[in-house]
Amino acid sequence: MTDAVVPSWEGVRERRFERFMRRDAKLVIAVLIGLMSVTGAFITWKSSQLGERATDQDRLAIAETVLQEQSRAQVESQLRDEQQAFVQFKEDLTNARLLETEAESLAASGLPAEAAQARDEAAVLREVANNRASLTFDQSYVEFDEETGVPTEFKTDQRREDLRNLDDQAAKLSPDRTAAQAAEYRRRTQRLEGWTIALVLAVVLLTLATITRSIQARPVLASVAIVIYIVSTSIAFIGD
Amino acid sequence: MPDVEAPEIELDEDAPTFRRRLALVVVLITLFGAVIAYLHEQNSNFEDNAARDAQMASIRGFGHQVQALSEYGLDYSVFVQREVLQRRAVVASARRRSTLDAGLAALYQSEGDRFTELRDAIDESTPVQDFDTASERDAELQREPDVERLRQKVFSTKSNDYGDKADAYVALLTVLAVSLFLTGLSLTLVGRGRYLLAIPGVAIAVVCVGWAGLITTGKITSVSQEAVSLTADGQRALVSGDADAAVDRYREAVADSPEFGTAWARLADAEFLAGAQPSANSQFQSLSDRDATTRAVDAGEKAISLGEGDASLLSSIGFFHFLLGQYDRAEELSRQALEGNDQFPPLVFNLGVVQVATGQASEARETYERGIELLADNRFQFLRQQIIGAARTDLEIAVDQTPDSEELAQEMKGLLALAERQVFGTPEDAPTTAPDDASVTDVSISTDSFRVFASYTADGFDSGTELTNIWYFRPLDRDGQGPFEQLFALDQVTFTGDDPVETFPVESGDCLPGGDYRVEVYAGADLLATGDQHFSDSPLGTLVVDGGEDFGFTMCRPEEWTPPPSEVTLEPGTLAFGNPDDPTQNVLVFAFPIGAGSGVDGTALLNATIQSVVAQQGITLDGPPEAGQALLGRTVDGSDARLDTTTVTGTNSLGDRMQITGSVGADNVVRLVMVSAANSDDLEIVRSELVNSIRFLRVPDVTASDGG
Repeated sequence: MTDAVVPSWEGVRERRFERFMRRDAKLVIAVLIGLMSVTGAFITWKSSQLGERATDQDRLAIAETVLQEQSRAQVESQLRDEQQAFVQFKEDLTNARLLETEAESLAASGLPAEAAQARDEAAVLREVANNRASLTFDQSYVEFDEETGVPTEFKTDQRREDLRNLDDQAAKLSPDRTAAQAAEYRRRTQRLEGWTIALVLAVVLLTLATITRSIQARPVLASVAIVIYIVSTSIAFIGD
Repeated sequence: MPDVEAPEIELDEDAPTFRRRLALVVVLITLFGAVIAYLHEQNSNFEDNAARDAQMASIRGFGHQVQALSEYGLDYSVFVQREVLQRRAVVASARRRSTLDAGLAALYQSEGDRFTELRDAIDESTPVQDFDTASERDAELQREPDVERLRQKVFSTKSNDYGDKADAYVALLTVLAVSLFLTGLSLTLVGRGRYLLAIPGVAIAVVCVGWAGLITTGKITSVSQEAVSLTADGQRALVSGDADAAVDRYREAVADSPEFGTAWARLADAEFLAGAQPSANSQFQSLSDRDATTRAVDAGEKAISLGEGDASLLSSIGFFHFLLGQYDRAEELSRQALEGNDQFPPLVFNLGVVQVATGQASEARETYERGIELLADNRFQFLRQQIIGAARTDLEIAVDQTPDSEELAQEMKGLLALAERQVFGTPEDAPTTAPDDASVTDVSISTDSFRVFASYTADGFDSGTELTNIWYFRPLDRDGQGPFEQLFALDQVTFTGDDPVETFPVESGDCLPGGDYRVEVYAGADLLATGDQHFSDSPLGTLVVDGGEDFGFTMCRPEEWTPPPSEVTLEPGTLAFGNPDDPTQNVLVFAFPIGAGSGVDGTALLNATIQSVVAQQGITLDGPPEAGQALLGRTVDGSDARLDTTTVTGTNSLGDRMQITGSVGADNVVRLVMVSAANSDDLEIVRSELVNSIRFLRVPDVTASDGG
């Protein structure tokens, strides 16, 4: 009885590519998975940073809104005071004009003393009205009747606009724009987070490449994963 | 043989395949987890954006509120200025009429003209022309703050919705982690045991996929800007007193955005108010048309289903259910409301009245005692009587719907009568029950110059014992059916002593509306007597109020009567109306102050004025002038006062009967009323219906007080 012949690999030389595909490719894939994980972590960190900025902008937008509304309250309060003063101014000057007309008719009715008194009262009213106006509001915002010289209208809208612009602190605020910036930061975080899904997809493909028994499929899967990784990472960072 | 146990070698032929498959499952779960994390992040971002927008809207609401208030303040102050000028024009005109000096008359004439022109000049500066337009202006200005409030609510709801989604994703991720844990743990086992872990892990992941689908397709409340705008318009209409227009706007809003809970909640209130009769208790309306109440319930339930759940809404909708006799739901909502706010007495009484209607005696007692205890708090001092009035009306409704509850309802009304004594300043140690042998009999209700009063005989009391008189009213259009409404403004105390005991005459709304009046007389918590009286509407037709501060008097006149044609110029401060169907029926009223410098004696001027009218109209007098107190005035502190009057009656050249009644008081104001009709009977009707309704304002407080 002879000993059984045991087949041996001795003397058989494995080709380099095949050895790479069998053993080294898995090592490369593991490295790639690690690289993609690190990239994903970096994207998440970047997204978190942007989220923080968005929160800061939110707070800023609210603070700006508070300031803007405080300014609005101040402007409206001043505007109403000026309008009130204007109404009194208008009443006084109209009254003065009417008193002068009245003085003429009183004089014509044979009441010279009363006419003089009316004229005097008109003069006092006019003086007091002008004096009060100069202390309370800007007459450049007043429209006058060209014929009678009586004030007719206070340009409220223009005055409001100017008062708002005069408040330089509030004028430069734009809470809506700040809020839009916050929303934009959040859109960017969202966008970055979206690309991590592509990275995980690449990891899925690399995992498939690792576990597949088909030697032909492995490089294809790994290549697709690498392409996805490069494209998604590039778009994520370049587009941001 | 060596004493060594051979290692157990388990043959596991499918282990590599299992591991491969499991690795694939793990990475797929991870991929799914990444997608969920993305969705969580997305919803968190939307939540943060909406929360920020809500805060900004809230702050803007404050800013707009300040602007609206300051703008209204200006408009109203200019209106006051206008009224002052109008009054000065009236005074100048009156002085012109009362002076005998031609020069002074010319001076007053020109003064009057000047003030009228000034008034017209000021008039352009404000949209407020009277109290109605003031109310409209206020409602208009409040629109913008309301828009911001609504926007705040919309953003808050949106933020909550996104927040809920984000939270759900977090929960899902946690469950997914369990799935991964089980799947991973299965790799540590061999044989079939590993499937006991792997299969549940995969199953959980599959369930998570379905769950994620549900979360992702879950709705976010969507409300358009148009719906917000329409809802604010509805509120504006409601504040202006146009509940029907408000209902229309709210309906448009909910048609545009059916998920807008606030619009549904407001629609519920507006529906109820649109079906309500004008009420003495405008703040706490209890009675409305049944169809309108049903619509209000539908809208309210929709609002609740959409997450609206503030205590006030829940209590209102609960009360609407009570009105429809749906007591279980009414009690449920009223209890829910009290879980949200148990410190506001009307919400407590809303539960109490349901307990009365359902015969829960001890619970009802406890609830009413709790409400009354809350009511004693000083912050309710201005609402106390209104709240008690509304609670009494609700008890009337309970008795109307469930007559068996009458005894329990009366017990609660007794508690409320004791609570109302705080309003009247009754000493705390006053008796809370009537003496055993005490009685109140012969209760009658009468009218005097469009005011109602009660009189009765009180026996068995110590002199000066306080009795509480509680008034109720049911309008004519109810045909004597249904519950009464409590008129808290008429409530007052009387004191026993000389019989009959009489209450002060008090007005019940404008122009004494016809209907059923009832008075309940209490000694402490004990009801001693009840009196009822029916009053018809005026034989002259529906009466409306006219005049006001700028005229110096108010009066009721038939709605159909018209002022003189425009070519007839009335003196400032004069009102005149005629019956278009009977030209003989007329009324003319004016009040003018006599110039202090005119040197004219008031009584002489009054007589001269009457004589002048008599001469102008060609009146043949029936007899000499009669002295009396035929006119009623109101002092600046709101008390009624009878005015000494001179009245002449006669027939004019056309054969019409005429009566002129005049008065001049210590304030040197001449007040004159002239009425005419075809015959004496008609004249008496015109006089009793119109002259009795006149209230001259700001009369001096030196004449005999006549209630109020």
